[in-house]
Amino acid sequence: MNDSIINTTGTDRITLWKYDGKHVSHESFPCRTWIFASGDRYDLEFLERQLDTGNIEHQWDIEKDVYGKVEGLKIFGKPGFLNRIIQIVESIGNNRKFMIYNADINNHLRFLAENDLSYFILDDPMDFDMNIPYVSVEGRLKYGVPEKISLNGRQFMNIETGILEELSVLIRNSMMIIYDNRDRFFSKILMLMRNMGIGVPSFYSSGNTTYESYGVMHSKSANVRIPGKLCIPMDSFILQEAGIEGLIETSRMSCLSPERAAVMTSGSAVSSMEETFALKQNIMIPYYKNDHEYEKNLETLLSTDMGGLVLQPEPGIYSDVHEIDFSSMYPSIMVNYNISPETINFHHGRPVDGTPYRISEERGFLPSALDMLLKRRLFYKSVKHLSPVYEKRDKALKWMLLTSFGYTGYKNAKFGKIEAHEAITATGRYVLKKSIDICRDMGFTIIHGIVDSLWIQGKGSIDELLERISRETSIGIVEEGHYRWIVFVPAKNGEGSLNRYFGLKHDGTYKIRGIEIRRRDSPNICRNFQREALDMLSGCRTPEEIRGKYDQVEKLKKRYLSMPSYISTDDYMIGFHMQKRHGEYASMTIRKSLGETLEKRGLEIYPGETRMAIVSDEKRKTLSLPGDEAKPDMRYYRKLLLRSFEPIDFIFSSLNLSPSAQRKLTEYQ
Amino acid sequence: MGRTTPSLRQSFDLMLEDINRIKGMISDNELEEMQKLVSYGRKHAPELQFLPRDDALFTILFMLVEMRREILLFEGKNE
Repeated sequence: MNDSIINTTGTDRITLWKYDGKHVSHESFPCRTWIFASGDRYDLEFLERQLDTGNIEHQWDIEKDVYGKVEGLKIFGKPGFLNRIIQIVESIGNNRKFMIYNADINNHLRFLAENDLSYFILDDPMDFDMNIPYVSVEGRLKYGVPEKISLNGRQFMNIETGILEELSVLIRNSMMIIYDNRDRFFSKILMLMRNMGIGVPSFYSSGNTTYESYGVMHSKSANVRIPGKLCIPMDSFILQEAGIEGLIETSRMSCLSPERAAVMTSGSAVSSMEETFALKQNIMIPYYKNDHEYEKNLETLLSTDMGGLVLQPEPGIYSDVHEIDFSSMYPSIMVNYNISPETINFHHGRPVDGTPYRISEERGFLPSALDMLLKRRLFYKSVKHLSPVYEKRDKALKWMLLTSFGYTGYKNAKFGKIEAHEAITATGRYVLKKSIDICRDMGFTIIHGIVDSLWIQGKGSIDELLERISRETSIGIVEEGHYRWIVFVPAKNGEGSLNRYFGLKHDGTYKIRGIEIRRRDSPNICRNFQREALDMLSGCRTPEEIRGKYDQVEKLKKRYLSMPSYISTDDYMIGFHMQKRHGEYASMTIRKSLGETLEKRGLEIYPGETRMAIVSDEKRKTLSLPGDEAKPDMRYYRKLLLRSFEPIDFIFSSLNLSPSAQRKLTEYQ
Repeated sequence: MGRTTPSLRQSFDLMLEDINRIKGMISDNELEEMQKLVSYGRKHAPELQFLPRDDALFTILFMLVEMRREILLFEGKNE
């Protein structure tokens, strides 16, 4: 295997870190780059004269962007000087006269793309990556002071000099450091090591960041950087979802170093991948996007600005149900239906169902860029059973593909356009509707449908059905699960809840969504109840067999309601997710109280963070933190338990039990 | 990202909120009936997505369908 590029550093000289499986070598290259300015000929000539005066190298040239050829001035400079050049061009053009290209691309990404390089290149997609030595460091603080530490999974209850010396050696011998910096744990450990005179490299630490995504606050702990090492935060989304192998795959596909790929969202990784593809195809990337939303009347806006199709299930228990699922539906639509910002128009090409848009025949930029990613994902999906490495790569690619669609509607996406976003969702709705028609035509009954999945019942051939849907919609569809029985739980208003269901598959496993067992904000006591109840039902092949488990489940409910003393206090812990700073809560809520409790103990909590606590007194909003002597508020936990009984009770209530059994079901409520 | 207009389900939810504003001005019974009618329409939000945007008429048709279904169910003629 050849040397792998595992990192890049530098600005005007780019240093490649090459790893041969044992050692890291560094190779430096001078880097010179360019930006492009287009606009009115008269304005460009004026800009040319100014650049001549300032002795800035430039030339007239014709390049292309996604829409076609562009004539203008190519302006050269070192990466470190590029921002200054952009400022000069913008000020000469009064921030509006010139369209600037290739101005804000990550320097390292551009260097790698233009030289046809990438991180962690594999000769064959089946190859495994080289083993990168790493150390993982995590731990816990008490009253703001590091208390416990875990090195590569080995737990130490006290932090002693010997352990820190061992950590120092591990850091020195490792290439990658995976650290937990919640409450600045790792920063404090490094500071402690420095103060104790234990050999520790220099390090830099940033501050915590908080951001909002789809209305939910998220928090990222402070990043730590140690020169010469790859420092990966443990709360990195992609690391948590797809492990080191998934992180490396993201880095490979996006041309972002593992350190950057770890802290960026999957959407940014896709954006970087598109930029890399554009650079390799000599397509310029606009600095400011100039393709505004088309003017449209209110009727068009309302009829096109819709999301995916979500059906309304009838609450109940259903037997012998198939779940069929389109593989990467939206990316497949983009690729197979050629949806891209430059292919959308009102005048020529194939019409998009449910919209006034049309798609031109010429192959679009986004479908071309995503085609390779989609094929790669489908490949790893087909081989993921062979190795966990392929499974993790599949997961990483799945996330990249998922976000590739969302980015078409993001206002700052370089290759996004709201009409493309609308055309994708509209096609998605029609693809699902067409699939529903085919299912009905082949004798299946539709129970539920969510965007790219359908739950159907029927005796027809599922293989023939999948083949026909795939053929007629041009999108791959697979059977995700075959259920012995599945329960769609009602919402509070009695209608079927769209995303709360659980079902037992023929292979004996459950698929569970939306009920307490899956929720981060429910205590273990509720989850354990549902887990035990579902275990009891796992032997039932039909809904009728469930009826026989009624007494057993009732006993279980009684046992949990008595809250026996052998239940560990840890099982009462609830994860509270902070949506804002505790001072910003107007009334005294449990979350506000949690923030105040943590503050008193010298710990900070940021919006987006989740902290565990036990509710000791709901009325007075008293909480106990992990490690405290805790006495749970039994009335509060009884309420939560009763709520967790509801999905299980619902099964029995829909099985037409005897009136006395029905009465029993409601007697706790 | 993406959407700027509320979905049909959200529109029905807004309608339910609006109905709650006149709570007290109408009887509880009427309030409940109105909520029930809106929820009949809400139930058919997925189908309404495929119909012309002037969907008030179709919403009423779906409400009538649901009412008819309930009557038939009550009479024991259906399902």
